[in-house]
Amino acid sequence: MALESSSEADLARRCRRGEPDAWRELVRRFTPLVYRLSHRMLRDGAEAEDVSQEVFLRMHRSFDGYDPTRPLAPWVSRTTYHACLRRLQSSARRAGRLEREPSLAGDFDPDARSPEQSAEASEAATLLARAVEELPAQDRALLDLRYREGLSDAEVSEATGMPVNTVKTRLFRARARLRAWLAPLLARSDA
Amino acid sequence: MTGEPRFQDEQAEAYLDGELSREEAAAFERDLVADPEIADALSAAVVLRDLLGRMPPLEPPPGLEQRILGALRLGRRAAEAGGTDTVARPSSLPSVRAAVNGAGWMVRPSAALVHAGMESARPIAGGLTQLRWIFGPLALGRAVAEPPRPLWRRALGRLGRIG
Repeated sequence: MALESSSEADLARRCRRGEPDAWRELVRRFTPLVYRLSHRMLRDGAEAEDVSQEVFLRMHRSFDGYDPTRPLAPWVSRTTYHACLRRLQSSARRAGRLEREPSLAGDFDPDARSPEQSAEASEAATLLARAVEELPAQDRALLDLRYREGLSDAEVSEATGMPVNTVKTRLFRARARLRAWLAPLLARSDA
Repeated sequence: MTGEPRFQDEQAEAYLDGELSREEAAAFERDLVADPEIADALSAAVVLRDLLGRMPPLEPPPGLEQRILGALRLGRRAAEAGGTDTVARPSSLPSVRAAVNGAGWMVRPSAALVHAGMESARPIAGGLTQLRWIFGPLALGRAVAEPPRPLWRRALGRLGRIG
């Protein structure tokens, strides 16, 4: 079976056996997730790259403890999430506060739309990105895992170590904050 | 900024999360048609989720995958099994070494990222058309972000909120 199409369980078993090709496939599949989540939490591309390497090294060292019958994405997410938290806590201790990075809205790609639509999309994305930036790093991670990576509440819970109800509550509050922030925009959609 | 969540917002979120029972969902859909505030709450929740699904793609920078593979020094574990390779512990990540040694993380200066176009968030002119790029894909059934439940699509369609 080609590695590209192998199941996660099969890939995990191969990784446990230390097959280089399996590890290459693991890195290929999950580097985007690890980098995105790291960048979303740390708001720094260079830090996100460092953490991405750290995450795969940690997984490499601890793969024997992974249950290959479980999906990989939550496990990879959990390793990433906690690596980012450690780095944020370390940064906070050093600086006394978390550094703020510019918003990511400039990277927003509104697909192929008319100039008018693109402008609207860009402005909405700008507002949302600013609002998301105001959220705590853990909430940004929850939103990212839930809505960008498509994890279920239970998988987000597994990834973050938070109880499912906590995940739901934090997601609800995060959405409520975003909704309040975007209220003028959302209200106009009903005008 | 946040305020207390309104009941209709909670209901809309629960509806979209599929957490309402069949009976509760049916009742919500009836209220949706009768109560504009509930319809507004659902519209706002749908738009917000759609926007969240459109957050910047954040592709990994070129070469990151290769750097990770290099840091892993692939073949080490296989070599451990076979006993033929003696690849040393990765040394290209001082931050990892420092953490393992209990010395804390490397300090890396903040990236001087400057994103043009973030200087201001101009108010957006009113009107539903301002958000048609959001609703458009829904109306066309072009799932940019896969809808979590088909129910709300039907419900919004009944209200004429989407085509």
